[in-house]
Amino acid sequence: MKVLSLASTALAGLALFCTSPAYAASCTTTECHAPLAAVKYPHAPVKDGDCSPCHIQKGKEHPVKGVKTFDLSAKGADLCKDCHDGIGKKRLVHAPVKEGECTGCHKPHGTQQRFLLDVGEDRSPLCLNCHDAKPFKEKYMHGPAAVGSCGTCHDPHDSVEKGLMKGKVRDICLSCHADFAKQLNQAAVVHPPVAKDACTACHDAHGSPYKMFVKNKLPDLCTGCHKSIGKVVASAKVPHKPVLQEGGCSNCHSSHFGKAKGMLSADQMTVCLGCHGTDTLGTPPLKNIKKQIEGKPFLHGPLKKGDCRACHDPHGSDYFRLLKGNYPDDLYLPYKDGAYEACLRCHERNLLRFPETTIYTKFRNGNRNLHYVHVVARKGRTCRICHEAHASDGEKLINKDGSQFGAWKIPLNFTLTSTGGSCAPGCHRKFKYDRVKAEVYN
Amino acid sequence: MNGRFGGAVTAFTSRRLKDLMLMTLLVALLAGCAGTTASVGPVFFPPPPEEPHVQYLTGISSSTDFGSNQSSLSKLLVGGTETVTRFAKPYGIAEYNGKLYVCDIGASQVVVVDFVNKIIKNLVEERGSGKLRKPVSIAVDDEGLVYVADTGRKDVAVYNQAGKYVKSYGKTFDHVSLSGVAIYKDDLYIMDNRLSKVFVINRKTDEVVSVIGESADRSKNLALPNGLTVDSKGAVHIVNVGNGSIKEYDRDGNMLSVFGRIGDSPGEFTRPRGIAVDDDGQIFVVDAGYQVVQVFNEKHRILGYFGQPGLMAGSTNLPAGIVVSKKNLDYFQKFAAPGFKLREVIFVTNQYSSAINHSVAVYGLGEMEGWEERAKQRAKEDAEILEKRKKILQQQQRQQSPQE
Repeated sequence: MKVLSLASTALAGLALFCTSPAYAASCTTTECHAPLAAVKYPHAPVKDGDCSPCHIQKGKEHPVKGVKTFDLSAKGADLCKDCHDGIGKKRLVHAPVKEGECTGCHKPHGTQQRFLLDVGEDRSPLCLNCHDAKPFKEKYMHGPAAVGSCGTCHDPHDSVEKGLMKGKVRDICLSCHADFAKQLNQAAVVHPPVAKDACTACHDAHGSPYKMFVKNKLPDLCTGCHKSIGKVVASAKVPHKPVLQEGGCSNCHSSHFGKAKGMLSADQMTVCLGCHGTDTLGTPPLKNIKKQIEGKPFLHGPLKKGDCRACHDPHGSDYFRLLKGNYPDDLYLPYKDGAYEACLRCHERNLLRFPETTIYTKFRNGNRNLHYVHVVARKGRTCRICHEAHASDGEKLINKDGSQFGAWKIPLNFTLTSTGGSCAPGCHRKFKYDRVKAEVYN
Repeated sequence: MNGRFGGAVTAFTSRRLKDLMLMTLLVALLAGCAGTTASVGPVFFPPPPEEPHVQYLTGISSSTDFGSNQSSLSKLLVGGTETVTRFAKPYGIAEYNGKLYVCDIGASQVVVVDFVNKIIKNLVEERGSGKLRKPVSIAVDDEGLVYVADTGRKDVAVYNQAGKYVKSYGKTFDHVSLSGVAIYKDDLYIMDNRLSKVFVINRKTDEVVSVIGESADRSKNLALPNGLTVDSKGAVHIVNVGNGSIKEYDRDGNMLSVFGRIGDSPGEFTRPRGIAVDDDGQIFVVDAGYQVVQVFNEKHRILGYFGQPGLMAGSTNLPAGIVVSKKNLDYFQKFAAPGFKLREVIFVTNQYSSAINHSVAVYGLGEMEGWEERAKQRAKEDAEILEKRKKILQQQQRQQSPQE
């Protein structure tokens, strides 16, 4: 009995301590609630030992076993806002904040980490309690998302920007990617979405299965906007391999900004010859175009301007060698309308239509159209038998040492005069031709 | 021109009676002041509510249309270049330096019309070997030499700007009836409608360099050619009244393209005559049977027509020759309705004229302000209608298909 009476006296004493602010320090200093304050980052009132801003004693007795003797001074966010005013007032509010669930994230008395959170700089265990974890487990991750530094970009309470972003998406991105921002300002050509849209138009700022955490694989990401090119890529019977390889469009184009039109890393021809300037491209290897052009005094018209695209479609084509129109892939094909479209898109359309002409070609004997003789006849010789498509060391894109005929370099011995010329190729005996005074052949 | 030819015809037919009544009244009113230019509202082709593409601007039948107060008698007495009082039977027409050169078969003359300076005069005063008899077709070269195909003289006579006879073409080749002439650079194209051939002559050497219409493949030859012109690229366009076709040739006589046939649908011909091709490749073909000018694009698709038989303003009464020009657009713009911007002007010769309709009628090809927006709006509405129809059709197909 004596022990019991002593205990009740002690409890009464403790109750007296707790009910009065004057004695509040004892809540956390006594054994009962001491752990609340024994953390690295206690809540300020806890640190001060002042429990009364949040807790109000209901009765005189404390503690009473099985009975709550203290009430919270307010419910939900009302409890916090007396001190933490101004949170949750912006246009968009984080759902727990809106619902007054401050304690969903924060421990009200204190924690071992800052901001009364259970987590440290890596917030992902906290945020991913509610948010879908999938984008955070992708192969390619954005740095801040990879380390759970959600707060670098997002405001956990409220924001005027969608996604609780701390500011405009572009501004947030460029605030870290300052070097990029500098280059962007100085760039000659900028991809319009980069110039004005949010970076998230193309990138998933958390992570994605694709390099540079873009939203879709290449070229699909690009052809989402560049639809006409998408159609070409999808339907091309002759695809350009880099478009379909890893890297897709970015194998030729820069995605943000560039030095030249089309956001190419250099002028068109340099980009093309970057690959087509070697002897080892493909099996069997494609021709080394750089070697074909180098040092040649006569370039095909478009190439003088460095315009490979005049004849080839780098995105894909339905025609041989990515050409923009029909051209026979065999060495021989008698002319028929449409079969030589790749060349006749620019060159005289009627070149091969009439056996006699005075206007469509200078390669004629009298009025006899010698192009017609060579190409329309039974053994239709394609343009390449005499002419080089890219460059030559002789006039009319005819190489002085002839053109490749299988293993043999077939000589042409082509010469020009003011009214005609002559040819002594490996094909036939020497023939002269003259537009004004027709040569007679025996 | 948006290919709404059919729509234009329907709209025209429904208005025709009303128009006829109105015109009869107008003619009655104007009977007392014959010779003065009639004033009517803008005449558009196609007529409203279609988007206008051609407007009838003005025309000339006689010197009084230019406001000349000189009496016919005094002009007759003065003679020479001032004797034109009235076109008799104009046919071929050409343009040079903004002036028109018109063959008048009835008057055996070439009449020069200068709209800007309000001058209408005869070109040729020659008697004897230089005299014109039945001038049908005309062309002017870069130096201003005037080439006249004359079926009475049976040659192509050449005159300088002063009207002096210079030379004649036709002695170096066999021909029957030289009824057409055209020029491109050094080439002179002379058409023989009886032989159905066009002779290509080098103007420097006077030699026949090739003949159009001598192909072994008869389908590539001519059938009663009735009009010709050379476009800005040097292709010769020849009208064939025999089979209602328009054939395009190069200077070597190779046929490049062909379109048209005899018939009574838009794009078909009954008595095609003059032809003109503008710098955009648009082809204008005069039809004396339907008395309209049909317009085709460079791919030979019919775009529409202008002119019409009858007494309404802007009619083409027995039309023959045609020429298109971009000269003096500022001058002719004054005749256009507010907001109608001219791109080029088209001159058509009519063998019959009235108080309202002229021997040489001037039409403007152009667009009304804001037509592009309206065209876009129409295209959008059309697409919506098409979409609706598609849906209805799909619905019907679903209902018709057997239920599974």
